[in-house]
Amino acid sequence: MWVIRTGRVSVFVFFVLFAYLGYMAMSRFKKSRDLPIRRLAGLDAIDEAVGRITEMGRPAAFVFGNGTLEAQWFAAFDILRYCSRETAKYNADMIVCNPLAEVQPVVEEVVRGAYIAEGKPQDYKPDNVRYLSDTGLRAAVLGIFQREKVAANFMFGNYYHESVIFAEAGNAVGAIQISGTANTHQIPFFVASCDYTLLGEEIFAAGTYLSRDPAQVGSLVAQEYAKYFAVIVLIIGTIMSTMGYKTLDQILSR
Amino acid sequence: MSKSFRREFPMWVGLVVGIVVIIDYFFNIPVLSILSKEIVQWRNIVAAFALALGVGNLTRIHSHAIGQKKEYWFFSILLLVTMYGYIALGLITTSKSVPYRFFWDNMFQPLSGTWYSMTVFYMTSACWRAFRIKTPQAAVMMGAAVLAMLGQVGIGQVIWSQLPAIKSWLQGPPTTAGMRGITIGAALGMISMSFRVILGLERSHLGGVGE
Repeated sequence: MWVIRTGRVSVFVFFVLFAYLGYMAMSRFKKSRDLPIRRLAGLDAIDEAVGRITEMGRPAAFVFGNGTLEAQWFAAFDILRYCSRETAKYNADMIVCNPLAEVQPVVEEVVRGAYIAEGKPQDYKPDNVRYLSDTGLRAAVLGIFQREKVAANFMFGNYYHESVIFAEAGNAVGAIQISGTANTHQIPFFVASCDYTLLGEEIFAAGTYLSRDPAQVGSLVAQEYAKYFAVIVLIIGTIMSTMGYKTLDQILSR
Repeated sequence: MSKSFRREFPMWVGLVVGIVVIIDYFFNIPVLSILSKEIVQWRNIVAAFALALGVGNLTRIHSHAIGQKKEYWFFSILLLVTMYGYIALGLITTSKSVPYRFFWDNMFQPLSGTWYSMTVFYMTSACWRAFRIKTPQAAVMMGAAVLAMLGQVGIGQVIWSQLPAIKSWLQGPPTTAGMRGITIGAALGMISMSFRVILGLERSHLGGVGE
């Protein structure tokens, strides 16, 4: 017999509801061309940044955060793919700095695939996709910024304290900087140092925004509905707690 | 191996593995619990093997740099000698031996610590630029930052005894409210992204030319 784990009943109900909403929205937007995604300035600026590196004849850098492999990495792969396609299109160079050995083949494949998609497989330079061990990442990235004088710096993923180091180093070489992370403790550093920053959930919407794939929009719509739901629960919970009622607490902790 | 198989197979593996781990998270099924723990352990094993790919990537890039006598090519020699020398030392003497520990404790650890401590200079530099009052929002941030900094140090309490309390309040309700808003949004984004990856709607990580 399947026994649901204690304390996870409400999470399971939310999970099922979320999946259902996602499925419904996906079915609705599957054939639609009018996709309701608001403008994300940070992602629009990627084109501007690629134009800049092309004009200046200097490379761009794409740096992943030093955190462990989780959902933010997959969001960063989407953006990497787009950046690689754009740099391939304009015959510009982009140095990709990756601190996780287990994703190195994935990173290489994403960049190579982008060059193939642009019809320029011969322009793919494997040496531009670099594995820089997690402990050596900081020194290596700063060295690359200084030696190559990067004109654009894309920083996306699971960032920790290295965010401020890379952002300041990028600023020191005059690079246009676009960043994004869902780690709230690093967002202030990105906001302070970068030209454009994707905040929290925006990084997860990036793939859908860039690809405009109707099938993916469904999950984004479900995400929005879930957010409204969370806000409603928060307001009701705040009022009930203030009045001394613990019913909602008890339901959610089941 | 066909190209479609190379793209489809990892997607199916991801789907099966994802569903097993999700079901195990919600339901107490002994067989799935064992399977889920195994899958999580496999991740660590795969990561350990992948380190060899990283070493291969570094070797290829720095060999090219040496072969083509690129700028600073001698640093590439230093990197390769250090990397392979230390691997050899560990394999020959084990990671608990005195020579291995010597390099770790006296070179790696101080250098690593230096990097962490250098962060403060970068933070100061970032703050310097962020606090320039160009907009009303920047003025509010600057004001809050000054109050928070003064509330943190002893002299702030001497200037005005209420400064530590103001600092605590600033770091409490307003900061927490903002951060939690972003955290809730990000958590929902993570769930959404995980759904897309598990269901194969998100395929960038599989490489290839795309749809």
